[in-house]
Amino acid sequence: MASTIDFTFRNLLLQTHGSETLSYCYQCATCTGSCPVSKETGGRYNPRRIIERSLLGMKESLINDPTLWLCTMCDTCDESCPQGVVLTEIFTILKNMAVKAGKAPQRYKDQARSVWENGVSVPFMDSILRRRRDLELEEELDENVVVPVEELQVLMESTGFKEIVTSFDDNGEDGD
Amino acid sequence: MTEATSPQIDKALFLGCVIPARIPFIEKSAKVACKLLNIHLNPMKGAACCPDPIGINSVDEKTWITLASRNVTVAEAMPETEIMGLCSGCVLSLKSANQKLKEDAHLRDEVNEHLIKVDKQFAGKIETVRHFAQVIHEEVGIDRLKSLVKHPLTGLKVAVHYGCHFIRPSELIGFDDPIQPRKLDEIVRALGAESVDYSEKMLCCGTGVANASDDIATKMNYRKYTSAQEAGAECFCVVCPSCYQMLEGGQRNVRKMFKEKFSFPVFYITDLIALALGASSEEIGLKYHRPKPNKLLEALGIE
Repeated sequence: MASTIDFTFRNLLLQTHGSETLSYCYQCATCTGSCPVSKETGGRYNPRRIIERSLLGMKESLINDPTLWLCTMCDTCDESCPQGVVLTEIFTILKNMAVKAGKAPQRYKDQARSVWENGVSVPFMDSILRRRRDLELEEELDENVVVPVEELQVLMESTGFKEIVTSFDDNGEDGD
Repeated sequence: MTEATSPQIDKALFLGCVIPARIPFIEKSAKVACKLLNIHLNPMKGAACCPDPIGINSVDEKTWITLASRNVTVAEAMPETEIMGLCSGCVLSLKSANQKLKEDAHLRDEVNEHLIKVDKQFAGKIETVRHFAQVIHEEVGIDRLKSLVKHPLTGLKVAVHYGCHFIRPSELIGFDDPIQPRKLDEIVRALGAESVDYSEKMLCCGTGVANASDDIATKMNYRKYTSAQEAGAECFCVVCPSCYQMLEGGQRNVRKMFKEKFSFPVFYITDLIALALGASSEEIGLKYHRPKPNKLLEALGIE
């Protein structure tokens, strides 16, 4: 794994809204101690190490690290950190960067594509529509099923999401 | 006390996608429960993906907050001043958007520059976004809930599962203690059921990590089931569709990985409230739950 120090990356992180708490970290590892995934993986997933590498500016090591995606986003570390570091927010920024570099587990890509195509993560299917009728929820169908996909696509094009989803097609590599 | 004597509560309802499009019986039990509690729900027509605060936020935070803000603008065009969600993830997304855009003028301008392209603007008219269970605790209240119970769930041993985003980040959600919450237990107890204390009560359902590793999620589920079993729990009570699906489906995954069989029916908080307030199991579609809760219902004398 590359261990290059990238000061531009480090400064970018420190200046990004949401990750300004990064510099408060004194590496006490309360985050790792409170993390359910760290416990389950015997420390293979280690939030303290991600913060340490962020502080050092180890960009390549971070965005290529598949364990970046093992955060279950339970926010326990954020609540436990004695320094008020908002780790989950920093991890989100790192993951957003990893996505732009073509690194994301397949399920994230699939969900993003579904939101781009359908306007929702989980579209309706016929079997569920039948079940809704059985439950006498049919009168609600028109209101619930119609998602204004075109309007959403205008927004997703505007925020650059379309470009991200399109890049998944060009780039077969993923972070699994 | 009858439902007519309960003061009316009005909410714009954000349904999200997992509940209506995968587990619609939860939508049904929520609607039945709300009717019994005199909570009037006005559906947010034209709302879309919340979007998922794990999946879409991780891919692109800007898109996440923009689409969530668009959903808030849908409610801003309605007479209600508050949004109610049934899913902890939806509530987190919409509440994040509503609060962050109110507090951060720069972010609001940035999001509104996108929204103007679809003739929408975030105005900040929605007072707050709350989860159904938060509405129960804060607006209906534990005492009134108790007084409305027609069929107490006496003897039902429930493993209450808070999940994550129902209470965290606490700075944003501002509802219960983020590490040692108690309010969902209070609701379950108000219905006559017993909330059992189990060691892995606060363990995440694993949905987030399952996006990258099913195995880790299954191991977490195993840990949770084992501790609930040891504590004598008969079922789980959840407040989030991701938790619901994980804790139901996780039992199949655990059986494969650990060759150990657990049989915990999973109830949504809306199910337990509807049942205790007099709804039938058929009305709220309990036959769709896996494992089926038939034995527990029999013991409670519920049809």
